[in-house]
Amino acid sequence: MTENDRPVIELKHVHKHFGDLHVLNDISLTVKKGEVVVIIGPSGSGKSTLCRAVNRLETIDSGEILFEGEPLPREGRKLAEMRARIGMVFQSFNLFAHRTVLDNLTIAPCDVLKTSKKEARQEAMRLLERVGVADQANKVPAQLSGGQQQRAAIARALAMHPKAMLFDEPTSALDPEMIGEVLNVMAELAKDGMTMLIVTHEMNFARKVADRVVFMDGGCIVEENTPEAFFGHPKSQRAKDFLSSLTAH
Amino acid sequence: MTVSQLLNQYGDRYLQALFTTWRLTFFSFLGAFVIGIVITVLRVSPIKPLRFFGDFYVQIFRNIPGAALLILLVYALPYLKITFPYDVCVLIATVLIPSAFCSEHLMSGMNTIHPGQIEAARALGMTFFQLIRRVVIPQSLRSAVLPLTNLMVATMLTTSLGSQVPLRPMELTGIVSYINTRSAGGVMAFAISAALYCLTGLLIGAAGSWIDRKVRILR
Amino acid sequence: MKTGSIRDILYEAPGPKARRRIAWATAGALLLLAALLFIVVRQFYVTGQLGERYWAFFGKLTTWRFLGEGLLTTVEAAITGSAISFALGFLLMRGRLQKNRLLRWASTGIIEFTRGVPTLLFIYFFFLVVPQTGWKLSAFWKITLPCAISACGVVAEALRGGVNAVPKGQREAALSLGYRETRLFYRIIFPQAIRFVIPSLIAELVIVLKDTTFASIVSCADLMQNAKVLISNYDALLSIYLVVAVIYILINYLLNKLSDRLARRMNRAGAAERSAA
Repeated sequence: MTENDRPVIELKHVHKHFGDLHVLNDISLTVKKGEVVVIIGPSGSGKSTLCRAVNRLETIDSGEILFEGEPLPREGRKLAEMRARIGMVFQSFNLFAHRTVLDNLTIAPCDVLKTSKKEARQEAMRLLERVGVADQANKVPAQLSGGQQQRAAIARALAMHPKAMLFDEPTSALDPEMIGEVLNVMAELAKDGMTMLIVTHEMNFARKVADRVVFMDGGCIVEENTPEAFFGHPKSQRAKDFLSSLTAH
Repeated sequence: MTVSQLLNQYGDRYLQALFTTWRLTFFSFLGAFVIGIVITVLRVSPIKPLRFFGDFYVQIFRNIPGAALLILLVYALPYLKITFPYDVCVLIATVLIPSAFCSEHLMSGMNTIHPGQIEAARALGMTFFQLIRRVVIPQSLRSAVLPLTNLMVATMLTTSLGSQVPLRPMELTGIVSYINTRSAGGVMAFAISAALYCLTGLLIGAAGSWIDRKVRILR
Repeated sequence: MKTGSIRDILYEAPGPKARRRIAWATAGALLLLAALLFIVVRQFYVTGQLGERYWAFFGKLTTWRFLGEGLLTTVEAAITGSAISFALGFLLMRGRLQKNRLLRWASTGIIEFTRGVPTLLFIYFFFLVVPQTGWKLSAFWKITLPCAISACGVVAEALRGGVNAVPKGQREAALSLGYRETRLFYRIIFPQAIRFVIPSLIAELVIVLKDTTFASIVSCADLMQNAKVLISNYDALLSIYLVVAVIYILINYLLNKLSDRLARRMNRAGAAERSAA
C-alpha cells in the first residue's frame, strides 16, 4: 500500500435510524488521502447525515467509522481531539456571531491547539488572504455577505490544519451569484491535495472536481463511480431518474 | 406641605431612604444574579432531578406574590424556630423573587444561540467547557443585557416591600407612609419618592442600554 | 417561555462513560433532594407544626368557603384592575403614537412614571392622600385603582410593541386601498396587533393579581386579608399562610402556562404565515 492509498475516512457497514426511518442503511465508504469524494442524491437520502456522522455530530446505531485508521472515540477529550483533525463546513456557515471574523479563525487554534495568539493571528490573516476576505477580518459575521461568510468559515476550518475536510451542502444557503466564489475556493483546496468529502447539489462542480461520485438514495449508496462514468452512463434506474429530474427544468 | 417644607424637615431622611433603596436594589440584584446563574446551571444540567429542582424553584418564586413571601419569612418562619431580623427577611424576599426571573432571562438568552454555533464549536474540537466558556456564556449574557436591565428596575420596585416591616433606616416607600402618618405630607411627599424612584430607574435603564450597545450581537 | 431547545443541544449523545457519570450524579442528586425534604419536614415536626390542630380545619367546608370568598374578591380586583389598566394603557399607547408632540410627550411621561414607581407607593397614595381630598372610595377601589394605574404603563408599551410588530406592508396595502389613518388603525392594524400581545396581557394579569395581595393595607377583604381572619380564629399562622401562598402560586402558574401556550401557538402560526408568503 503506497502512502497515497492510505484511507483517511473509512465507514464500514454503518446503520442509523431516526425512529422508523432508516437514514443510513449499511453504508461502506472509503476516502483515500488526497481524494475528493462528492456525495449527491435527492433530499432526505441521508447524505447530510453521513457527512455529519464522520465527526460524530450524528451518532450511529451500528457499524464502524475510522479516521486515519483509528475508530472514532465516543466521547470526551479524545473525541474533541479527533474532531480538531477534521475540518467541517456547514450549510449555514455557523461563524460565531459574537466574535470578529479574525477571532473566529484564532479562537479554536488558541484554545484547542494551544497556538500562541500572535502565531494564530498571522496564520489567520494568511488564510483569509487565501480565501479572499482579508479585508473583512475585523468585521463581525453578520456584516459579511453569505459568500464571504462561507469562505471565512472554510478558512476557520483550515486554521486547524485538518487532515480532511467535510462539506455539508456548503452552497445551499447562498444566493446564486455567490455560489461560484465558494466553489472556487473549494476547487483550489482540491487542487492543493486536500482530502475532501463533499455533500452538494452542484453537479458541474462534481463533474469537474470530484475523483469519485457517490450517489445515495433512501439511506443506501446506490452507485459509486468516476464522474465521467457516473454522469455519462449512470447504471441504476434511480440515478438516471435523479439526473434527468435535474435537467428537466 | 410644599416641597421646600418637606425637604427642610425630612430632606436628610429622604436622602437616607434613597441610599437604602439603592443599597437594597444593588445587593438584591447581585444576589439574584448569582442565584439565577446557579439555578440556570441546574436547569440545563443533564441530571434530571437537578433540572426538576431548578424548574420547581423558578415556578415557586416567579409566581409567589412578594407580600406572601415576606409574610412567610417574617411571621411564619419563627414558628419553625427560624428567625431573621427584618432587614434580612426583606433582602431574602428581594433576592429570591428576582432570581427566578433572572434564570428565565438567562434561559431565553441561551435559547437565542443558534444550534449551529454549538455544532461548529464541537466540529473545531472544543471540549464541553471550552464550548461553554467561549460560545454559550458570552452569547447568552450579551443577549440578556436588556432583560437584566429591566430586571434590575423590577428589583428596585420590589424593594418597596421594605415598607411592610419596620426597617431602619427606611427605604423610599416606607418613608412616605411614615411622613404621612406623622404630618399630612400630602401629594408632595409622594412626588418626591416617586421622582427618586423614576430617576433611579432611568439611570439603570441608561446604563443598561449603553452596555447593550457595546456588546449587542449582530445577527 | 420555551426552555426545551438549549437543553437538547448543549449536550451530545452521551457515550458509555458519560452515561455512567450521569447515572451516579442522578442518584446523588436524588439523595440530596430527599435529604433536603427530610430536613424541612423534620423541622415542621420538631416544632409541632404538623400537629393536627394546625391542619384539621382545612377539612371543614367553612374554611374553604371563607378562603373562597377572599379569593373571589382577589380575582375580581385583579380582573377589574387589568381591564382598567388595559383601557388606560390603550389610551397611552394611542397617545404615544400620535403626531402631536405634546400628546406624545405627555403619554411617554405617564408611561415612564407608572413603570418606574412601585405599586405600593400608589397604594399608599390611595390609602393616605386620596381620602384627604374628600374622594370617598371603597376598600375594593382603593386597592384596584392603584394596581390598575401601576400596570397601565407596562400595558401601553406591550400594546405599542404589538402595533410595531404588524408588518409595514399591511399599512401600505390599506393606504393603497384608500383607508384613512384612524380607520386603518382600528380595522387593519390593531386587530393584528392584539394577537401578538395577548400573552403579555395575561402575564400582566398575573402582576396585577400579585399586587392585590397588598389589599390588607386598605382593609379590603381579599384572600390575604381573609387568611388573617382565619389565623386569629384558629391560631394557626404557618399552615394558613402556607396554603394561601400555594393557592397564589398555583393560580399564577396556570395563568403563566396559558400565556406561554398562546405565545407558542402564535409563533407557530406566524412562522407558517411567513413561510407561506
